[in-house]
Amino acid sequence: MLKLLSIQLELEVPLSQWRSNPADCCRRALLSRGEPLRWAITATEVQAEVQWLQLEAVLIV
Amino acid sequence: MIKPLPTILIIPTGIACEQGGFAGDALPVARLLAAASGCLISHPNVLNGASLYWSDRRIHYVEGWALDAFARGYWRLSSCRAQRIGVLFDAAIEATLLLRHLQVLDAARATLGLDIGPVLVTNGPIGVSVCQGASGSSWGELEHPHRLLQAGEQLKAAGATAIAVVARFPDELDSSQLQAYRCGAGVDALAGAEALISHLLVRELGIPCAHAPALAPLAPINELDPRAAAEELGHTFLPCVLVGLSQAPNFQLATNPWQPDELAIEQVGAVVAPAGALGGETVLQALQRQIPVIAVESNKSLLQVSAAALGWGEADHETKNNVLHASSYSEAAGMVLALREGINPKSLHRPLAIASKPLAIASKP
Repeated sequence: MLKLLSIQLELEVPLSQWRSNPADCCRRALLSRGEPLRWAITATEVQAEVQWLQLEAVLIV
Repeated sequence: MIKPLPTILIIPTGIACEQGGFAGDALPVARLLAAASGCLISHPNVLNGASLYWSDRRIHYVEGWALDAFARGYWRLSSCRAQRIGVLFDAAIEATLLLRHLQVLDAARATLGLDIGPVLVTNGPIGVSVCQGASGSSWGELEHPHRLLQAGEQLKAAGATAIAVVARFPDELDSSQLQAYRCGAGVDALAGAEALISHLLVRELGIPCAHAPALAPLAPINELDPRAAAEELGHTFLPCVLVGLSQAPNFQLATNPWQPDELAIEQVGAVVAPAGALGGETVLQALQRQIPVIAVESNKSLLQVSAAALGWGEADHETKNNVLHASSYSEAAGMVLALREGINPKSLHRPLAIASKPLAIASKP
């Protein structure tokens, strides 16, 4: 039976990947945990070699 | 006549945006951008004003999950003369409140000429609850999502081409939070759960859907903020949803052969979003696809997901960054008009930087 799961997720993405595919980077990270139904970046920062991201999401699991 | 410049207007729901964080209070912005662009695609949070709405052939009403799918290039949009709106009611809605909603359906048929029906009540309560994420933004939960989907499938099978869904939301919300919202200072606590309901139906059914919450009436207050006032005019929030869905575009798989009346993400010429809320999928897809993103500084919210925080600087040819900064929606409309006319919006600003040096061409060994 379909279930919805709310999560908060932090991740770091290499800048080269981030700058060419920002949406895909987030989607891939979420897809490893379930199907994203609703999500957004709620905090982010450029660090030395990576983009740090905090996502809030509801997944279908 | 200048060719329209399809433009997407995003104002995320449930993050306390100064404009668009209340009861359809970004509708004037949508009307202005529709005039500037000739073709505006926006979502229910922008266009729904409970008993108030604005109908404009240049404005396309597209639910948030569908808008993301459109931006991903998964769906295209095709125009629709009139949708047959099926209406799905949560079984948790009590009889008197249900009667009020049923009378809205009658009014929409009699006064606006909309095609309404079939109507269905779920086979048990959906079980909506509201909560807040760590960022303070509005989120929610559904205890029985399968009941929602089952009823949606039945409506579609019975001939509905779009679905308006009404779920019973809890009345016992945090009273200080509700008071702050009504006075223009807080998050719309219902927004997150509302988005889940419509996202789930659109994802499952592939047809336009939108949601209106059913709530017990509130006692009037003198301090009511004008931006929240549209939600206190009537007994339901349903009229704007019916009007929005009545001519909402259909969704077509992008793998199907392209039809001349369809709109694809490749045709979009600009995306307008609050400068601190650029972290949603449609905006990120626009960044990825080099579509100009107009970041509106005046529309503050809970979030600080800005172009700078995302590592996206000013638009220039060297870095291919595509974010343009507008101080207000009035300026954003000017930028959309400039893009539509083929004018580089950066040419309108002073001082104007000296032309960049020619790109170095690698010499052959």
